[in-house]
Amino acid sequence: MKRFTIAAAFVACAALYSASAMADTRRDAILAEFLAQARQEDPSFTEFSAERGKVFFHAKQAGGKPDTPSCTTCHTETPQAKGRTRAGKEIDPIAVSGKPTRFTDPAEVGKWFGRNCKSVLGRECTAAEKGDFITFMTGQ
Amino acid sequence: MRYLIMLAIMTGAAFPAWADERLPPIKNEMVAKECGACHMAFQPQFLPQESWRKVMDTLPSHFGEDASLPEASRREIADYLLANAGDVSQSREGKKFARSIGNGPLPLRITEVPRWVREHREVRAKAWLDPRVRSKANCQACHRGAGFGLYDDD
Repeated sequence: MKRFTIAAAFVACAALYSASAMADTRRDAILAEFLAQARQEDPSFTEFSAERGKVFFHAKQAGGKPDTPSCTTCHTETPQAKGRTRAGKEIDPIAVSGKPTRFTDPAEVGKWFGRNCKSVLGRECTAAEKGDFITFMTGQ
Repeated sequence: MRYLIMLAIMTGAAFPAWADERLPPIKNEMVAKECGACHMAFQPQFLPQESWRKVMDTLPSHFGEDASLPEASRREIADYLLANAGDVSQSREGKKFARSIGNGPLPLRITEVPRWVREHREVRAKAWLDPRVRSKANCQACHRGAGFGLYDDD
Protein backbone atom coordinates (compact mmCIF):
# COMPACT_ATOMS: atom_id res chain seq x y z
CA MET A 1 0.00 0.00 0.00
CA LYS A 2 2.74 2.39 1.00
CA ARG A 3 4.71 1.52 -2.09
CA PHE A 4 1.61 2.14 -4.18
CA THR A 5 1.08 5.55 -2.60
CA ILE A 6 4.68 6.51 -3.31
CA ALA A 7 4.38 5.30 -6.88
CA ALA A 8 1.13 7.20 -7.37
CA ALA A 9 2.65 10.36 -5.94
CA PHE A 10 5.62 9.94 -8.23
CA VAL A 11 3.41 9.52 -11.28
CA ALA A 12 1.34 12.56 -10.31
CA CYS A 13 4.46 14.68 -9.85
CA ALA A 14 5.87 13.48 -13.14
CA ALA A 15 2.60 14.30 -14.94
CA LEU A 16 2.48 17.79 -13.43
CA TYR A 17 6.11 18.36 -14.24
CA SER A 18 5.77 17.21 -17.83
CA ALA A 19 2.63 19.33 -18.33
CA SER A 20 4.48 22.45 -17.22
CA ALA A 21 7.58 21.40 -19.16
CA MET A 22 5.41 21.01 -22.26
CA ALA A 23 3.91 24.47 -21.68
CA ASP A 24 7.44 25.86 -21.31
CA THR A 25 8.50 24.22 -24.58
CA ARG A 26 5.54 25.68 -26.42
CA ARG A 27 6.16 29.14 -24.95
CA ASP A 28 9.85 28.91 -25.90
CA ALA A 29 8.86 28.10 -29.47
CA ILE A 30 6.61 31.17 -29.63
CA LEU A 31 9.40 33.33 -28.19
CA ALA A 32 11.89 31.92 -30.70
CA GLU A 33 9.58 32.91 -33.53
CA PHE A 34 9.20 36.45 -32.18
CA LEU A 35 12.98 36.67 -31.76
CA ALA A 36 13.59 35.74 -35.38
CA GLN A 37 10.98 38.33 -36.41
CA ALA A 38 12.48 41.00 -34.14
CA ARG A 39 15.90 40.47 -35.69
CA GLN A 40 14.34 40.75 -39.11
CA GLU A 41 12.64 44.03 -38.15
CA ASP A 42 15.91 45.32 -36.62
CA PRO A 43 19.17 43.52 -37.49
CA SER A 44 20.89 44.98 -34.41
CA PHE A 45 18.32 43.44 -32.02
CA THR A 46 19.98 41.03 -29.59
CA GLU A 47 17.58 39.62 -27.00
CA PHE A 48 14.32 40.18 -25.13
CA SER A 49 14.30 42.09 -21.88
CA ALA A 50 11.95 41.48 -18.93
CA GLU A 51 12.73 45.01 -17.74
CA ARG A 52 11.55 46.55 -21.03
CA GLY A 53 8.48 44.30 -20.88
CA LYS A 54 7.69 45.60 -17.41
CA VAL A 55 7.91 49.25 -18.51
CA PHE A 56 5.75 48.44 -21.55
CA PHE A 57 3.13 46.70 -19.40
CA HIS A 58 2.76 49.63 -17.01
CA ALA A 59 3.06 52.43 -19.60
CA LYS A 60 0.18 54.80 -20.29
CA GLN A 61 -0.34 55.07 -24.03
CA ALA A 62 -1.91 57.86 -26.02
CA GLY A 63 -2.47 56.33 -29.46
CA GLY A 64 -5.18 53.81 -28.66
CA LYS A 65 -8.85 53.85 -27.71
CA PRO A 66 -9.63 56.25 -24.86
CA ASP A 67 -11.17 53.56 -22.63
CA THR A 68 -8.04 51.39 -22.68
CA PRO A 69 -4.93 53.57 -22.17
CA SER A 70 -2.77 50.76 -20.72
CA CYS A 71 -2.38 46.98 -20.40
CA THR A 72 -3.11 47.58 -16.73
CA THR A 73 -6.57 48.97 -17.51
CA CYS A 74 -7.85 45.40 -17.58
CA HIS A 75 -4.93 43.30 -16.23
CA THR A 76 -4.35 45.58 -13.17
CA GLU A 77 -0.93 46.76 -11.97
CA THR A 78 -0.30 43.30 -10.47
CA PRO A 79 0.23 40.63 -13.17
CA GLN A 80 -0.35 37.81 -10.66
CA ALA A 81 -3.80 39.14 -9.78
CA LYS A 82 -7.02 38.48 -11.65
CA GLY A 83 -8.00 41.23 -14.04
CA ARG A 84 -11.36 42.51 -15.16
CA THR A 85 -12.68 43.46 -18.59
CA ARG A 86 -14.56 46.70 -19.06
CA ALA A 87 -17.70 44.58 -19.34
CA GLY A 88 -17.12 43.33 -15.80
CA LYS A 89 -15.87 39.82 -16.59
CA GLU A 90 -12.99 38.35 -14.63
CA ILE A 91 -9.69 37.74 -16.49
CA ASP A 92 -7.30 35.01 -15.35
CA PRO A 93 -3.91 36.32 -14.20
CA ILE A 94 -1.68 37.39 -17.10
CA ALA A 95 1.47 36.22 -15.25
CA VAL A 96 2.63 32.69 -16.03
CA SER A 97 2.83 31.90 -12.30
CA GLY A 98 -0.88 32.69 -12.03
CA LYS A 99 -1.86 30.73 -15.15
CA PRO A 100 0.79 28.29 -16.42
CA THR A 101 -0.81 27.91 -19.87
CA ARG A 102 -0.26 31.61 -20.69
CA PHE A 103 1.51 32.25 -24.02
CA THR A 104 1.50 28.59 -25.11
CA ASP A 105 -1.08 28.68 -27.93
CA PRO A 106 0.09 30.63 -31.00
CA ALA A 107 -3.49 31.30 -32.15
CA GLU A 108 -4.49 32.80 -28.79
CA VAL A 109 -1.25 34.80 -28.55
CA GLY A 110 -1.81 36.16 -32.06
CA LYS A 111 -5.45 36.98 -31.39
CA TRP A 112 -4.89 38.84 -28.10
CA PHE A 113 -1.82 40.82 -29.14
CA GLY A 114 -3.64 41.66 -32.35
CA ARG A 115 -6.69 43.03 -30.53
CA ASN A 116 -5.13 44.55 -27.46
CA CYS A 117 -2.24 46.31 -29.18
CA LYS A 118 -4.77 48.04 -31.43
CA SER A 119 -7.03 48.90 -28.49
CA VAL A 120 -4.22 50.18 -26.24
CA LEU A 121 -1.60 51.51 -28.69
CA GLY A 122 -3.66 52.10 -31.80
CA ARG A 123 -1.23 50.01 -33.84
CA GLU A 124 0.21 46.51 -34.05
CA CYS A 125 2.93 45.65 -31.55
CA THR A 126 6.42 44.95 -32.82
CA ALA A 127 7.86 41.46 -32.38
CA ALA A 128 10.33 42.96 -29.88
CA GLU A 129 7.49 44.38 -27.77
CA LYS A 130 5.64 41.05 -27.80
CA GLY A 131 8.77 39.10 -26.85
CA ASP A 132 9.65 41.54 -24.07
CA PHE A 133 6.11 41.29 -22.73
CA ILE A 134 6.11 37.47 -22.66
CA THR A 135 9.60 37.41 -21.17
CA PHE A 136 8.48 39.72 -18.36
CA MET A 137 5.29 37.70 -17.70
CA THR A 138 7.18 34.40 -17.70
CA GLY A 139 9.20 35.59 -14.73
CA GLN A 140 6.15 36.89 -12.89
CA MET B 1 -58.40 14.03 -30.16
CA ARG B 2 -56.44 11.62 -28.03
CA TYR B 3 -53.44 12.28 -30.27
CA LEU B 4 -53.82 16.00 -29.78
CA ILE B 5 -53.84 15.65 -26.01
CA MET B 6 -50.81 13.40 -26.11
CA LEU B 7 -49.02 15.82 -28.39
CA ALA B 8 -49.78 18.68 -26.03
CA ILE B 9 -48.47 16.71 -23.05
CA MET B 10 -45.36 15.68 -24.93
CA THR B 11 -44.42 19.15 -26.15
CA GLY B 12 -45.18 20.52 -22.70
CA ALA B 13 -42.86 17.94 -21.19
CA ALA B 14 -40.17 18.59 -23.73
CA PHE B 15 -39.99 22.35 -23.12
CA PRO B 16 -40.90 22.82 -19.47
CA ALA B 17 -38.20 25.42 -18.96
CA TRP B 18 -39.27 27.79 -21.72
CA ALA B 19 -41.50 29.75 -19.47
CA ASP B 20 -41.19 33.47 -18.86
CA GLU B 21 -37.80 35.16 -19.02
CA ARG B 22 -35.90 32.07 -19.99
CA LEU B 23 -33.84 31.55 -23.09
CA PRO B 24 -32.23 28.46 -24.56
CA PRO B 25 -28.58 28.23 -23.49
CA ILE B 26 -25.87 28.68 -26.16
CA LYS B 27 -24.97 25.37 -27.80
CA ASN B 28 -22.13 26.44 -30.06
CA GLU B 29 -18.70 26.06 -28.46
CA MET B 30 -17.04 28.74 -30.58
CA VAL B 31 -19.76 31.24 -29.67
CA ALA B 32 -19.49 30.36 -25.97
CA LYS B 33 -15.69 30.67 -26.00
CA GLU B 34 -15.09 33.71 -28.18
CA CYS B 35 -18.07 35.88 -27.18
CA GLY B 36 -17.55 34.80 -23.58
CA ALA B 37 -13.91 35.88 -23.48
CA CYS B 38 -14.63 39.52 -22.58
CA HIS B 39 -18.27 39.49 -21.45
CA MET B 40 -20.98 36.96 -20.79
CA ALA B 41 -21.87 35.20 -24.03
CA PHE B 42 -25.27 36.80 -24.51
CA GLN B 43 -28.02 34.56 -25.86
CA PRO B 44 -28.62 35.46 -29.53
CA GLN B 45 -32.39 35.68 -28.96
CA PHE B 46 -31.89 39.08 -27.30
CA LEU B 47 -31.22 40.85 -30.63
CA PRO B 48 -32.76 40.60 -34.10
CA GLN B 49 -30.80 39.35 -37.12
CA GLU B 50 -30.12 42.85 -38.44
CA SER B 51 -28.42 43.85 -35.18
CA TRP B 52 -26.20 40.75 -35.09
CA ARG B 53 -25.23 41.29 -38.71
CA LYS B 54 -24.02 44.80 -37.87
CA VAL B 55 -22.24 43.69 -34.69
CA MET B 56 -20.43 40.89 -36.49
CA ASP B 57 -19.46 43.16 -39.38
CA THR B 58 -17.82 45.71 -37.08
CA LEU B 59 -15.75 43.60 -34.66
CA PRO B 60 -12.55 45.70 -35.03
CA SER B 61 -14.50 48.52 -33.39
CA HIS B 62 -16.66 46.71 -30.86
CA PHE B 63 -18.12 49.17 -28.32
CA GLY B 64 -14.76 50.85 -27.82
CA GLU B 65 -12.53 47.80 -28.23
CA ASP B 66 -10.97 45.72 -30.94
CA ALA B 67 -12.67 42.31 -30.97
CA SER B 68 -11.32 41.08 -34.31
CA LEU B 69 -11.53 37.37 -35.10
CA PRO B 70 -10.12 35.19 -37.86
CA GLU B 71 -12.65 35.07 -40.70
CA ALA B 72 -13.51 31.37 -40.22
CA SER B 73 -14.41 31.94 -36.54
CA ARG B 74 -16.26 35.16 -37.32
CA ARG B 75 -18.37 33.39 -39.93
CA GLU B 76 -19.24 30.43 -37.69
CA ILE B 77 -20.30 32.76 -34.87
CA ALA B 78 -22.29 35.05 -37.17
CA ASP B 79 -24.12 32.06 -38.65
CA TYR B 80 -25.12 30.84 -35.19
CA LEU B 81 -26.22 34.28 -33.97
CA LEU B 82 -28.27 34.93 -37.12
CA ALA B 83 -29.91 31.50 -37.01
CA ASN B 84 -31.00 32.05 -33.40
CA ALA B 85 -31.78 35.77 -33.44
CA GLY B 86 -34.90 36.93 -31.60
CA ASP B 87 -36.92 37.75 -34.72
CA VAL B 88 -36.49 34.24 -36.16
CA SER B 89 -36.23 32.11 -33.02
CA GLN B 90 -38.96 30.02 -31.42
CA SER B 91 -38.14 31.45 -28.00
CA ARG B 92 -41.07 33.33 -26.46
CA GLU B 93 -38.83 35.77 -24.64
CA GLY B 94 -36.72 36.29 -27.76
CA LYS B 95 -39.84 37.16 -29.75
CA LYS B 96 -40.88 39.65 -27.08
CA PHE B 97 -37.48 41.33 -27.29
CA ALA B 98 -37.66 41.52 -31.07
CA ARG B 99 -41.28 42.74 -31.07
CA SER B 100 -40.54 45.49 -28.55
CA ILE B 101 -38.27 47.17 -31.11
CA GLY B 102 -41.12 47.67 -33.56
CA ASN B 103 -40.26 50.36 -36.07
CA GLY B 104 -37.87 52.03 -33.67
CA PRO B 105 -34.13 52.44 -34.22
CA LEU B 106 -32.07 49.29 -34.66
CA PRO B 107 -30.37 48.47 -31.33
CA LEU B 108 -26.73 47.37 -31.32
CA ARG B 109 -26.64 46.83 -27.59
CA ILE B 110 -29.08 44.51 -25.83
CA THR B 111 -29.45 47.27 -23.24
CA GLU B 112 -31.00 49.48 -25.93
CA VAL B 113 -33.85 47.06 -26.67
CA PRO B 114 -37.09 48.58 -25.32
CA ARG B 115 -38.04 45.36 -23.52
CA TRP B 116 -34.67 45.32 -21.74
CA VAL B 117 -35.10 48.95 -20.71
CA ARG B 118 -38.62 48.29 -19.43
CA GLU B 119 -37.58 45.21 -17.47
CA HIS B 120 -34.79 47.14 -15.73
CA ARG B 121 -36.52 50.46 -15.05
CA GLU B 122 -36.88 49.65 -11.35
CA VAL B 123 -33.15 49.11 -10.90
CA ARG B 124 -31.78 52.10 -8.99
CA ALA B 125 -29.01 54.08 -10.70
CA LYS B 126 -26.72 53.38 -7.74
CA ALA B 127 -26.97 49.62 -8.25
CA TRP B 128 -25.24 49.84 -11.65
CA LEU B 129 -22.25 51.55 -10.04
CA ASP B 130 -21.69 48.76 -7.51
CA PRO B 131 -18.15 47.41 -8.06
CA ARG B 132 -19.59 43.90 -8.31
CA VAL B 133 -21.73 45.03 -11.26
CA ARG B 134 -19.67 47.73 -12.94
CA SER B 135 -21.29 47.27 -16.37
CA LYS B 136 -24.79 46.63 -17.70
CA ALA B 137 -23.19 43.85 -19.74
CA ASN B 138 -22.51 41.97 -16.51
CA CYS B 139 -25.87 40.14 -16.37
CA GLN B 140 -24.59 37.49 -13.99
CA ALA B 141 -23.90 40.00 -11.24
CA CYS B 142 -27.66 39.91 -10.52
CA HIS B 143 -29.05 37.08 -12.67
CA ARG B 144 -26.98 34.17 -11.34
CA GLY B 145 -28.31 31.77 -13.97
CA ALA B 146 -27.89 34.16 -16.91
CA GLY B 147 -25.19 31.98 -18.45
CA PHE B 148 -27.75 29.18 -18.67
CA GLY B 149 -30.45 31.47 -20.03
CA LEU B 150 -32.28 31.93 -16.71
CA TYR B 151 -33.37 35.49 -16.04
CA ASP B 152 -36.55 35.06 -14.01
CA ASP B 153 -34.82 35.35 -10.65
CA ASP B 154 -35.39 39.04 -9.99
